[in-house]
Amino acid sequence: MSNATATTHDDHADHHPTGIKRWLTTTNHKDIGTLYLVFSLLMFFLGGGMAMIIRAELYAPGVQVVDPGFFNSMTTMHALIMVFGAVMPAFVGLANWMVPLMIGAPDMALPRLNNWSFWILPMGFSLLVITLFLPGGAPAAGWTMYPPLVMQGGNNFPFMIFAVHLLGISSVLGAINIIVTIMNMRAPGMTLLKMPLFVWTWLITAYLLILAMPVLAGAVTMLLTDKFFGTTFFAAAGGGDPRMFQHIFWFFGHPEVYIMILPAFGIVSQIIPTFARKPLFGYDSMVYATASIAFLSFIVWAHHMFTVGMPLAGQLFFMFSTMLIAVPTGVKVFNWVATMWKGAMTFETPMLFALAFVFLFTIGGFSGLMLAIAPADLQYHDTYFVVAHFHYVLVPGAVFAIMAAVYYWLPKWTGHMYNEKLGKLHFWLSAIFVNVTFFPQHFVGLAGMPRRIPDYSTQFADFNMVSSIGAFIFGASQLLFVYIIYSCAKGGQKATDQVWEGAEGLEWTVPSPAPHHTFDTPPLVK
Amino acid sequence: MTDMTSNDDGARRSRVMRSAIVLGLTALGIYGFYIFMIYRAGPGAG
Repeated sequence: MSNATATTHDDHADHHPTGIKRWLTTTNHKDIGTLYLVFSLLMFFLGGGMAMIIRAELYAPGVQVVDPGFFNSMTTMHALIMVFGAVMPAFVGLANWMVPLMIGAPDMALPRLNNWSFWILPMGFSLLVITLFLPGGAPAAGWTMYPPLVMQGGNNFPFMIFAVHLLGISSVLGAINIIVTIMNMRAPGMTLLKMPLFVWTWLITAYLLILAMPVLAGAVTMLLTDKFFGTTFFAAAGGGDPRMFQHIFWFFGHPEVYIMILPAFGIVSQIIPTFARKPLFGYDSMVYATASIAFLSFIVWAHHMFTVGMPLAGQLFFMFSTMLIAVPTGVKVFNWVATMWKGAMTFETPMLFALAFVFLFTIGGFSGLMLAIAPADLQYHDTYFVVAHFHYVLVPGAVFAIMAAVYYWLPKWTGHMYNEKLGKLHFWLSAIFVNVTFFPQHFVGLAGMPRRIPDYSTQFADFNMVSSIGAFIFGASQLLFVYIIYSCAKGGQKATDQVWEGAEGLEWTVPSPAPHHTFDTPPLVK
Repeated sequence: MTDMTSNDDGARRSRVMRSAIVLGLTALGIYGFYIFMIYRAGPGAG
């Protein structure tokens, strides 16, 4: 693909501050990528710990582990932390590390802004997490922050609103940086349709972020003025309408779903060709499918609100537009399968996670189609079926893709191969117990068990016990992931520059570990 | 008009700044729409 030779300037590192000052002031895309990824891992365990509390309470019927108010705080905080603290920063971290390497750029286009984008994040999360220690506790009205319930939040309310603003600012600044980097910093010869799929999916995701995050900021600002400044946007008593919040929130919320999955599509599109030792099937159609999904994500928001009530024409529009998303998504799944067809496949850990993604994300996609059917949704809405659906999309979907990416690029980051045996053990534990956790939730949901409730009827007991046992083992097996990363960073078999036999692209032309400065002289892409 | 094919550092820097400002203003504009609605509603409105 390229005759590029990486220029290494490790001596420059001597001029860099060391210790904590290095991490506070760094403008290097690799350092900032590492910061995002470490932060995301910490949040993954914080949010995961909350999931363990939720599953411990739901292990058996009755209220026995935590009080119901705290349970509600756990469901709310788990979601906010996992969405804004774990999944999104993980993808931004991967983009920071890999986008400049993949397009042959020396760094992100706006390195100081990059530093700022990251450091806003821990500040925002400090505000959010500190609410756990406030009188009245943490937010408990759900991550969707629906009024009027959210207005009863007490002391935590302004903390949550300010935190969401900060997280939004961080995301928008990060997105601006990614777009200007991709549009302006590509190596000579790298036209848009020669870019790796991960770069393409991130470019489109960044546009989604810029269009969607200000809408969330607007919605929560309106909540803030309703609470403290006498407006009544969402208060029926003052002529407002709480349903308007739901429309505004989901106009952000549905693109947000794709913000969390499009980069995962990009990762899988990098990994499958490498381990199938074949070029990606239908590259152009993958790009157009990604763009189509992004466009459709803005016109489907009210499928989250079928039970709120809307005219028949509205129900039909949102039902069919939602189903339409299955077309470009299907194109992607068929292209991944066609890439593997007659390939010389091997099954290293990144490939295993990528394959599990294709199978299990598709299950989440299918249950999404079931939820899109307006009359059927009246039965499914707010049940555990919905919980099962979006966890299939987000855990074996987004989280598995992040894990696949970490295993795939870890040798490039650290210069060492990770322990393949332990990696495979981590995969099988995760793949088996993610299904033990979430598959039974389809059944209790279809039988009518509501979400966000700490107690339940005894008829749901068996499936809930199985789900909780699955969650405990899935959670514990993630400690293995941390150990594998730690031991790989510390040492191990030296990685080659190309790392994987079938790997192609500029990132594999630089040494392993990637030096502090790369592509000071732009490579030429043929 | 900016020469998009130029890899001259100065031209590239001005392209970067221009695109970043346009994207930032887009985000601010969308947020501004909601702030404008709040301004229209005014304190104590309703």
